[in-house]
Amino acid sequence: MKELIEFMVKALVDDPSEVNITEIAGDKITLYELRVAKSDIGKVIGKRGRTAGAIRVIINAVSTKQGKRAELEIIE
Amino acid sequence: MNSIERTGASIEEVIRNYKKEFKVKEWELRYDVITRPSSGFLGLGRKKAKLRFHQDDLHVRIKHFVEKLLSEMGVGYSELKSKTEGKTVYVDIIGCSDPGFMIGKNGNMLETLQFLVNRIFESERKLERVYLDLDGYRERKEAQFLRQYIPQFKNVEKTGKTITLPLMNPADRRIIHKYIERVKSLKTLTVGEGETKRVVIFSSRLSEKDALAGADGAPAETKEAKPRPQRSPKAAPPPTPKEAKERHEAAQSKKPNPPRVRPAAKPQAAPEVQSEGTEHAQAAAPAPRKRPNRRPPRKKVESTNDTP
Repeated sequence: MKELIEFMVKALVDDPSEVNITEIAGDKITLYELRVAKSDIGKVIGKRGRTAGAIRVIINAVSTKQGKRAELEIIE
Repeated sequence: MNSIERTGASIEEVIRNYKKEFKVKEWELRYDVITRPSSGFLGLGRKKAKLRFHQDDLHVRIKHFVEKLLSEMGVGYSELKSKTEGKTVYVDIIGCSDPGFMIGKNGNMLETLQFLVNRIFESERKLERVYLDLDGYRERKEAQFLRQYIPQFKNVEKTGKTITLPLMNPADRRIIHKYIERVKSLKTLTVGEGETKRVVIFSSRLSEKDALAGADGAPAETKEAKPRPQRSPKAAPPPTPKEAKERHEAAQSKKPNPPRVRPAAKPQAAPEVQSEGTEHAQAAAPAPRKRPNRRPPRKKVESTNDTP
């Protein structure tokens, strides 16, 4: 899952070296904290959060398929 | 495919500069090292690093991206097809292992993936849009969407009257524009701004100005008049192409089908209710079929409608 998020975000941003994802495993939900370069935050979130929404949709679908739950948090 | 050579002090530096210059991502970086850098001996025979980078065509790069994305998502497929048409790239996923998951509810997942791919390749100047398809799903859906408007298009062809279609999202409008582009006798225009954009369809004999005048003058009228002709029994011409098509299809497959064709039932019901408006006829038609007892209240409603 982490690889999938990393792949999608790195493809989106201009500066892939600044992409950093931390995985926090909970009882039921795994939380992924995403940090990107300041100049790339807009790219990851997108107009009205549409890109972030798309990433979340894909993450939710894939994790549900694996019988897990995942949540993405974008940290500024 | 293209090859580009770059030189620099070290291999890492050349790669870094190259990535910056062409905005190439990690997963599509392909290169050969031609000469390794060496500091030589006491400043003699110093060599710079020379690398040859390979650049794929855009549609191949998009295909590689989708390939990688699918494997990360854990979805199998038998083949990926990609083609370019002008500035549009089509990627078709064939033989998907889990089509239900990939398409999602109402094609949501496919739409989301397509959106993401479009965002990622947004900065490409040679690219306008990427379309993702899965086992021809989008094609089928487009055909289904267009089918409901084809009788109206035929009507424009026949009568030369301009029509304004109801509000649609950009994707649906694009489908209509693309379809009409192939019909020689028709042309499209867009009226409205932002969220209220609508497609206007007019005969190619009219100039854009005339068509706009016709569309602007009575957009509300055409909008209201349009959906009705299909259903109301009064307007016979519009349903006929549809009916004819259905009958034709039915005749081709099975012969006993034609009596079942639904539109035929309504015009039959209409003559019973004489000299009434089409609206009343529609409302009244189903009532007598169920219970004759309900007729009195219906008449009351009519009378109240008539008095003011």
